[in-house]
Amino acid sequence: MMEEEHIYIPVDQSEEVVAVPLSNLPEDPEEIVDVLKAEMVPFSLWVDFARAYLAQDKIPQYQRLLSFGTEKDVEDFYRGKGTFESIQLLCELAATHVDAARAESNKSSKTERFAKAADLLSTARQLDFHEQLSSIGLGELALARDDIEGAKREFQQAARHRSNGKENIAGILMLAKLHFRQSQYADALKLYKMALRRHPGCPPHVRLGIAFCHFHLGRPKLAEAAFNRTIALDPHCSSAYIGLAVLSLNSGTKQGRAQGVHLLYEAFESDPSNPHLLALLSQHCLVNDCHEEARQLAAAAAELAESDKQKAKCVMLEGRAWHALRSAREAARCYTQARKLDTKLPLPHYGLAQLNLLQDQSFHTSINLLETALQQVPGWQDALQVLGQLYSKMPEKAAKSLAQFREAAARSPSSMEVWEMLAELLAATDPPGSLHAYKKALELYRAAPHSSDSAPHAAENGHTEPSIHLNPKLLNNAAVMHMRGGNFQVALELIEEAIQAAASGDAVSNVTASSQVTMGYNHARLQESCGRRREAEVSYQRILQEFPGYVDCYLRLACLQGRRGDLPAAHEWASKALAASNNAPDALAVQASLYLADKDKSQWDKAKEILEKKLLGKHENRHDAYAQLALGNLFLNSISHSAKHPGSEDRDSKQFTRALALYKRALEQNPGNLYAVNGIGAVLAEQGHLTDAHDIFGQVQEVSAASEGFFQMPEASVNLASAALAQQNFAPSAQLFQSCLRRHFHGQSSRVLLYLARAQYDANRLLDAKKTLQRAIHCSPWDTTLAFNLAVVMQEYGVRELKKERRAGDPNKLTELTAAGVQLTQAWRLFTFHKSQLDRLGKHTVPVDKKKLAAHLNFCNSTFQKAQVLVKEAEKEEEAADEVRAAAQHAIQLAAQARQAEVWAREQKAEQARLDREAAGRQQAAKMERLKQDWRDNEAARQAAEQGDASKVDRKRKKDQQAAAEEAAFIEPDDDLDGAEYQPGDESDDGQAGPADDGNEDEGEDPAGAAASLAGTGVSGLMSDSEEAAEPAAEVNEALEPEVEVDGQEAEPAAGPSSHKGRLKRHRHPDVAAQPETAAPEDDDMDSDGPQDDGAQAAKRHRAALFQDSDDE
Amino acid sequence: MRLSVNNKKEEAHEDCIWSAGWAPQGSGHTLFTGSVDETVKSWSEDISTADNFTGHTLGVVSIALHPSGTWAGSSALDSFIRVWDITDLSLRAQIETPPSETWQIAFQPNSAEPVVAAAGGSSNKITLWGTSTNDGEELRSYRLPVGEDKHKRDKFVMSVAYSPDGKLIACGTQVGTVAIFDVEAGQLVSVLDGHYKPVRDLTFTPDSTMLLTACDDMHTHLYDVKQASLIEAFSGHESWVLSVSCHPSGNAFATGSSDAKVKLWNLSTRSLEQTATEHSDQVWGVAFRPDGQQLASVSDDKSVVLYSFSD
Repeated sequence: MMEEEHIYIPVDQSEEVVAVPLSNLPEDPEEIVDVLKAEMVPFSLWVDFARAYLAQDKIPQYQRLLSFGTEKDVEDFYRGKGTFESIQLLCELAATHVDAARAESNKSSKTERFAKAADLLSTARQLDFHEQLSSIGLGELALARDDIEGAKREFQQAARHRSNGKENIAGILMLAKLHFRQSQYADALKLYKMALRRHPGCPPHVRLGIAFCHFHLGRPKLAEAAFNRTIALDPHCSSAYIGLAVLSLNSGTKQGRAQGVHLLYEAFESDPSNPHLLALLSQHCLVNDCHEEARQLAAAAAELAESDKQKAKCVMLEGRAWHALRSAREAARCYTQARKLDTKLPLPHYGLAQLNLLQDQSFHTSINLLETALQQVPGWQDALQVLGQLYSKMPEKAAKSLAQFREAAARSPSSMEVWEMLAELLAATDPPGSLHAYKKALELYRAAPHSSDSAPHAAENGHTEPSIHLNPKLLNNAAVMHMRGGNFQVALELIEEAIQAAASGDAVSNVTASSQVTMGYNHARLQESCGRRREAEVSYQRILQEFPGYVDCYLRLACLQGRRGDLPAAHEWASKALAASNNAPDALAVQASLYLADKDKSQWDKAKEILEKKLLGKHENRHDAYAQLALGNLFLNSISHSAKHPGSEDRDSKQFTRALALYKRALEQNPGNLYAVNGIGAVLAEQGHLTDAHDIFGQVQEVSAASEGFFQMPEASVNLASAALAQQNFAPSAQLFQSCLRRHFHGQSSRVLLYLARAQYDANRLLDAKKTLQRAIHCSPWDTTLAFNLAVVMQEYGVRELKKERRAGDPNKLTELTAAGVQLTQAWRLFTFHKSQLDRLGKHTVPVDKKKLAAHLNFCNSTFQKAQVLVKEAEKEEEAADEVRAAAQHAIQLAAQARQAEVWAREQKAEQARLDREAAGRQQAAKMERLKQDWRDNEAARQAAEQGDASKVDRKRKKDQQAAAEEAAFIEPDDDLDGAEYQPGDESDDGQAGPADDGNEDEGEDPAGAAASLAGTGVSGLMSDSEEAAEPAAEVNEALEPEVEVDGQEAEPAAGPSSHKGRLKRHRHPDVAAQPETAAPEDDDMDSDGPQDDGAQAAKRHRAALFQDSDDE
Repeated sequence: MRLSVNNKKEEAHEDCIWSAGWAPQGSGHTLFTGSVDETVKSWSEDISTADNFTGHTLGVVSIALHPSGTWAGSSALDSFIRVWDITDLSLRAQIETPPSETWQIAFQPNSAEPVVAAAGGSSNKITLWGTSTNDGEELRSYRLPVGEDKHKRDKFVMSVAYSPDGKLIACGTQVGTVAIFDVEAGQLVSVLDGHYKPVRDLTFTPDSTMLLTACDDMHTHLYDVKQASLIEAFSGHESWVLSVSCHPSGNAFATGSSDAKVKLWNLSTRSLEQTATEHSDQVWGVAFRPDGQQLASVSDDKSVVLYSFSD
């Protein structure tokens, strides 16, 4: 093609040539063109001259020459003689247009250029459809237009075609490059290898391609060999040097790094203007904290960059350098520029997000930037990590990219970091998912070789994978999550491991003093949860000795003492907390809770004052969710007291409104606050909207059930059951109470037992109700309400037995009637006891007033008399029946004997007949055998009969004894009361069982007439409150009335690392929150241990959050 | 030291079992259990079969065994105390007390005739009942001092225990008061501080110098009787501690709790030795056999479990 220094133009029709020195090409290519045209030179000379200009970077001349060469007249002249050259010229001219279009920012001129190129190329193609060049040109054009698929098509075609009739690997190489760019390294490698096979003397950069493919496919050894081979062929190939350098740098060893840097500098020496190289050097400087050098190198690289994409990278590097130099403005400028140059480059988004955070601008912008970055590089750990922290501050945004986090984790089943990150992110929104992620991270953590024990091992096999360091943070946070899930023992073991890891000095990050204290606190907290309260107390006090400002320790100590029932000591700790924290909302909350836990209800006013004035009344605390809920509960509970008093409706409705407003506010702040939801349900129930309330409680319970133990809200279950009871779904209600007793109350809550008894009573399961009440009394023997209700149930049972329709001669009659008498006696004894309590100690000791008690006593008494009469009747009947039975039995016996005799006679006859044939002795023996058998049977029957009699006698004796005792007990039988009036019958419950007020619903179901006829009976325990005090029954209702409970605990508002301490702290001590519920007058001794644990957990979460804070930069 | 399950009887009663006690040595190793099913059962040594004592009309709250091995006592929610002759299952006395004025009972250790001390519930005292007549007779009472706090309800006296030497009697109340009286003189000797919630069970150590308590505050306290001071608070149960029994050697004690667990504690090292999880519901009673070789536990889950004890 090109001679050394001259291009020789053969003079037409002569042997002469004109030598044109390359160094002296005319500035105006037209001169050349004239000569070329005049001498009618071979077309290839046109190409030679064009390239000569190109080689001298005289682009305009080059372009002009090409333009001349592609003009119609020239083309026509050479038609048939220089098709290939024509194509060459067309393609090269097209290429200049493509290049220009790339550089063009104006959209319309860009399109124009593309159109021109396309035009030229299609002309070229038409000249020869099988020419490779035009395909390659078209491919490049497609690439420039971002039409990857089109480019691929063209390049594939090019790979098949020949160039100027000769095989040429250019097409294959283009296709390989395309695959390479698409990160399809395996495909690219295959093509490069194919090119090498077809053309073993190919230019060295084919080997370079192979090297980079291997590099990207993670085969450093093969890559290294290929790089070296490239360098052998082309000692100045800086790319190969760069490749080797990167390989060395990546080796992870110190030696490797040094060698890498050395190689880079070597390459720099030979090719100081390679932008790749400069960028790499810049990156190296960045890593080594030579930020200024890095900046300069990056800037230089950006200048030299061959494409926007590359330039973007360089500018981005420059930005990072500025960033590191703490020049936020310059950094931002660079990032923005880089982002413009290449919108797909993720790092600038990331950098901008960081800058944004640095300048404390909105999280939103940062989140958006990071999300964009992640669209480009899904699963990018660094970005995910920052995003994760941001999400934990704005959990409402998290949902969008959560899937990405999960995918990233699923994609990296062996990356502990990714799982840990996912776990931290899910902590707020999906605790079970978070726990799962922690478990996975721990699994990986345990499977990984630890630095301490694996160092020699790793060196041995030259494995470059870094061993994992002890990670107290992971252990701590996993412990916290386990604790939230209620796995206290596991959590305790983990936190102990975390403390050990932190102490070993080989931790992944330097464990700060503050996180060590936090772990100490967590440890104490878990000791507490595991029931080792004594040890926890000691631990808290030890922490306080060292850090007297650790307010949470004071608060936990206050709670511990409060739960032990030592309120004065608890208050003392709370005061210390208040002093140490300058009246922090948490400390105030604890103080309020302690007042609420007091049996002395006058203390509740103090609680109310704290909640209203010091918490909600202060601007900075006005959103305190605990205060909102606790105060709401307080209002609601004061309603349940006044509901029984006429004339308090106004006050009640005011209280409803206030409570509702508080719950709503809490819910507005945190839509996931189930405690507030529960509270709203309770208000609805109190106002009589039972169906709605039932739905709400049901939903709360569902959420709770779906949380896999992370969210336990026993009160919602109790309320659900109460609502069912109020709706007269007795059986399901009883079932709900039972399961909730088992699950949440260790079967020991006399309050829930009382409700259960009520449900069983209403479901006509009197004996079950009796047993349930006994269990309740066994838990709280001092609770007179329970005993009173037991008396009512026994009275009712007695009455029902007496009233039971019996068929004549019912064999159980006497036993049952006797039992009924016993029940009535017991009931009477208990009522008597209540009366004596009332007389002796005053009103507060007994749940009913004198009148009602008297009515009960009278009723028991009279019913007992009736029972006595009935028992006597039954005895007589029994005796008569006994006689009849005895007679019948006698008759039966006689009949049997007669039958036996008959049989015997028959057999005798038969025997007689046989006698004739057989020997007399044998016959006689057989007969005797049968006779003996018959005698034995008779004897057995007689014995059985005797035994039956004996048991009867026994029973009779007992019965007499009891009757005597009962007679002695009842002093004044009142014969006035007629059995007919005591029909316990079918009065319906009128929904009073539940939180509903009477009168609101079920009108007409309890007609006044029916009720009136029951007045004074005291039997039912089921009558309406509107009835006069004459019936004790009304009180029974009250006593058994399950109150809808509200629980002051708030649903956890997304814990997580946050600088908004207030937000996290406020749910520290819902311990107390559970207390307002105990407002039910009979239940102050009830404890709410479950919820307290929850509260503690909230505190725990808070600690976890702090810990994360302290660890994350 | 260790407990290993030796024998377990499911459905030992028809309903929740609330109390357990062993007849003293010499009369065989007979375990007595009382249930909400209104019966007291005395079990064969392998707890395969049982004799029934019936008569209570409500759940049996407490069982006591007289040191002579002749008498068993039971109290129930019907507020009757019944004293039985173990040898022929006959009833010796049936003492009717006012409702809610009897809870746990204990036999006076060194009396020839059975004398029953009853934690007096709402009566704010311990009452001693003689059993020379069928109805029993009130012999004397140990009255608790009345608290200054007006708002406090009556202290419901829940638990009662004699010191093995018979000189002292202690009781525990609903509000956590633990009081010790001189049996003979009838005086209040000391009030032990530290509990604020119901003390449902208490027992002296065999040498009568220390007292163990089981409290709803989830702790078991060990008190020095003479000094009237708290020696140690044992925590570990996750709910109320319902029952406590001291090993006759004085080296160990066991507790039963609402958390359905039985725990074995070492009194010498003052530490938890073991947690047994045989039960699925509240463990209302634990009792070491007088020879110390076995422990029995009873529960709301209706089962009885026997454990072998080894040092």
